[in-house]
Amino acid sequence: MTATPVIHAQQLSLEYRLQGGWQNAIRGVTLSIDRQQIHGLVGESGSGKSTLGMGLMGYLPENARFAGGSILFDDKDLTRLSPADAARLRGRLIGFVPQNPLDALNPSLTIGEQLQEVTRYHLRLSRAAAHQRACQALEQTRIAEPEAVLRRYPHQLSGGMQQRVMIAMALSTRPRLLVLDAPVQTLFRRPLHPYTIGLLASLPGAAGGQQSRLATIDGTAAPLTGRPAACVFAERCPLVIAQCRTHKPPLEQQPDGRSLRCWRGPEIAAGSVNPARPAHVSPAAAAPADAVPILRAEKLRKTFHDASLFDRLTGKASAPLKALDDVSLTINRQATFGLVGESGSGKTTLARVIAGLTVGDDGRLELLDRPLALPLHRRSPEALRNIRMVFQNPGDTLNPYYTVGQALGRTLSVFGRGQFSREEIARRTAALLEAVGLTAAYAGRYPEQLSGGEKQRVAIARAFAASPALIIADEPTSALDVSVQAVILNLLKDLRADQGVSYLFISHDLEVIGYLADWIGVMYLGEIVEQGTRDQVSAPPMHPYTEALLSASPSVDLTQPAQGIRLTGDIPSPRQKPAGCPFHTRCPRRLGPICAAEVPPLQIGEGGHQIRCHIPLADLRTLQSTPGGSG
Amino acid sequence: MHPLARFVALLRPLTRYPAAAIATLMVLLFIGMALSGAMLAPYRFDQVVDDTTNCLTRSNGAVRCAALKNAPPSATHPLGTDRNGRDVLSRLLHGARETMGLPALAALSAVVLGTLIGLTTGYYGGWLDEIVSRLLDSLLAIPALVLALVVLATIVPALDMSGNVLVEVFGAVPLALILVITLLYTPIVARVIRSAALALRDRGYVEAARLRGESVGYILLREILPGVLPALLVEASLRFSYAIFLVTSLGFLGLGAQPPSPEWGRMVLDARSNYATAPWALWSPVVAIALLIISVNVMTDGLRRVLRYEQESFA
Repeated sequence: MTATPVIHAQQLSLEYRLQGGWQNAIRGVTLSIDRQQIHGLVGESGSGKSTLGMGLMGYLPENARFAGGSILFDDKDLTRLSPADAARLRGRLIGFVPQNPLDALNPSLTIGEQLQEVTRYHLRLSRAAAHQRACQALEQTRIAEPEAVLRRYPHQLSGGMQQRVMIAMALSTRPRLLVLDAPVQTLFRRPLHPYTIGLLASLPGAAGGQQSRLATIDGTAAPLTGRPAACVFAERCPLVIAQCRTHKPPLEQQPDGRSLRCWRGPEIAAGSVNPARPAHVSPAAAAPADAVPILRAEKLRKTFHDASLFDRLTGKASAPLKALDDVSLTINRQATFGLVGESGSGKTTLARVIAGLTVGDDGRLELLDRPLALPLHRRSPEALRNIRMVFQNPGDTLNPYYTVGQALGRTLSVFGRGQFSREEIARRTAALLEAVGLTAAYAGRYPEQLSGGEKQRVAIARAFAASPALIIADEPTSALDVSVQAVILNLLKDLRADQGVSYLFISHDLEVIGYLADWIGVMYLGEIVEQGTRDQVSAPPMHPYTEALLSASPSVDLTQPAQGIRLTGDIPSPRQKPAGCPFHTRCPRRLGPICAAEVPPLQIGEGGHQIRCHIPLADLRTLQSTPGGSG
Repeated sequence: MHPLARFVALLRPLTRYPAAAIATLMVLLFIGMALSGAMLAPYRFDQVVDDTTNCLTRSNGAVRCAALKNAPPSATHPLGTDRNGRDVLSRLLHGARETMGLPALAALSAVVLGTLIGLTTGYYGGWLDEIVSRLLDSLLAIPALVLALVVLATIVPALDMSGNVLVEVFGAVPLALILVITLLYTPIVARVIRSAALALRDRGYVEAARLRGESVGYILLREILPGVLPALLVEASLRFSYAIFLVTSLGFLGLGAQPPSPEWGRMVLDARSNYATAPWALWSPVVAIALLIISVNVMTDGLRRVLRYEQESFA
């Protein structure tokens, strides 16, 4: 480290004004970032990542202040600059990419106006030069047709393109430092701190496959008002010793250049202790699913015509959106059907059509060998009881006006057909709460008093209250921290064995799917392009789309070099679904005109493995077995 | 805790806004006045006060006094008397019931009707929403006062002839006023509640209720209604203040309450021509109306702040 760092924070402390007093949010953080270095900052929500990131830019919320230390950037101490000076520096030399691009873009201005504003204000560029610079910045993000993008409004871009616009905006002033606030899984080689080890171990990809459980971290990050005085992680650390609670560990430089703040660091480095929790395998959890189908779906179709009456009368209706196109699947008893695909691929529509929340246009459903009506209101109470759902957003899954007990009690009394007495409902509510790892005392709490993970547990308890045959879980962990996600995934796995239930589990995360599912369906633009067992789907021969998804998911193991094929561009709009094979516009293994002209055949491989592709299975296997082949 | 009790508990932060707290107190005082004013008033609303300094004893022994007209405020008549010799304070106290009761009833009926329409159209959406919303829009396009004048002119005689029970209870003009205000405000309430319900329709807990096979009534009233209560309460309070304004305006124009009614707008009309001799008879109802409407509006504003604040902490 000979070169002077771009930014250097020394013993930085930051406080928030909360409940009338100043509460420490960042305590004595020291870090420096060198030129061309990527400094990753990970932690659960509430750990202070965003506050530190913003603080490094000298930007503080109104109720926050610097409480000590310094940030050296460009020979200036950012903690001592006036807000106006800091703002000037920030726009010019430090770029920022926020977490949610749609919040950061002004919906009433074009992308071009917003991109040019940055350089015109900070670099005093002329209108023409600013336009030029905006174009260049967009090109750097490899966005298609930058000129056209500049003329569009934010809502006309997909989420991925909005994110690229934000990156382009941050890059357009050619800053020296870029702060990216995004929930990205970060790569580690061999972590030393028990917290880091815990975080890493709670990623599903790190687990040793289906038979094991994910490691978890106890508790949640302490609130600002109750931070431990010594080691902040002591209360949750599996390796905690008396010293951790009384003395703050020093920041120690490791031989390989890393620094570590832990009393037990040397022991962990030497390998004499291991903070990752031993994985318990309950024998039932490993029991194989039997092949009795509980739900069969045949040729489900759903097309959305979301034009208003007025639009339809004036003939201005937009093209219909084909969300589901001939989807067939079977879910077996006690099995987990994992559904994976990019956003916009129709996963959620499929789940909602099976649940009945969205009425399918066409197709047949069969539940426990009896036909199941597509519209919800034509389903019998018994059918309703047997299919339950866990929703994606923990924030709105519970009605804020009812207690947890009232929410669970209502489900119990509806499906108990009024046969349960008040005491019976209370008893069952307590049992359900305990089954999902909460205590009976939660029955009296309101949703606002629960964390996101706790709300999702209550939602799971509510789904199980009806003793259903099938639970549909639509990305139940995507809004949660990885450590909480691990708890929820373990819970789902345990409950499956205990209650003999099947899951239709939806996720865009292949590792999550791989951890829980034994049968996986891969969706693309409203079609299941491949389905098979977990092992079949993750090894050749596989559909080129699956192959691309697999190689796009970041690997925790750095020793494995990135390989395989990459997807280019965004998923096409389902309103303009490509003819022939829907994937041909992005497929790296495209054969030729046949892919654009003809719908690919469904090829059946060993063990019921299905792939919808023009390339014969044997050829796919050969292509994909060669390392770095094609692409 | 019942959802309603939980909702009331949410209003406690109102005390953090002094202006809103005072205004709420004022509104409560006005409501107390409407409920018990008739009992507190020293005179009847149409009682002509005797001028004891100007009396004659008749031959049969009876004492006849002249009316105490246009008397300035004094200890016995704190707000003076009007040109007919009636005690202004007593008239104000008596008039509170009509001035506030009528708008309260009208606002209530508009809010109930509007909420039902808004919840239903917001929840169902589709062509039902499209048709009902356009109908309501067309009602909204007519200026309030014009609609009120036309309807009052046509339905008051009709009501008088009908011999309906409600006409017996309320009288033809007040009943017509309630109908007019309901007609005017139902579309406004329905629009507000519709958009609030629309935002809640796709919430997980509403879908969870649909998946339980709950009836539409249960979903609307037990799952969605609590969520729109903040909007509902603010809207109800706002409609109340507008209705007071409209009723007093119509009273002042001579289209609402008829003499000798002590309705405040009517009192302003009756005292107007006599302003030079008895300004107190004009100022008293004017100040009362202004205080009432300002109080209701400041309270509404406080409610809006408190409820929006609490809503955010829910999200």
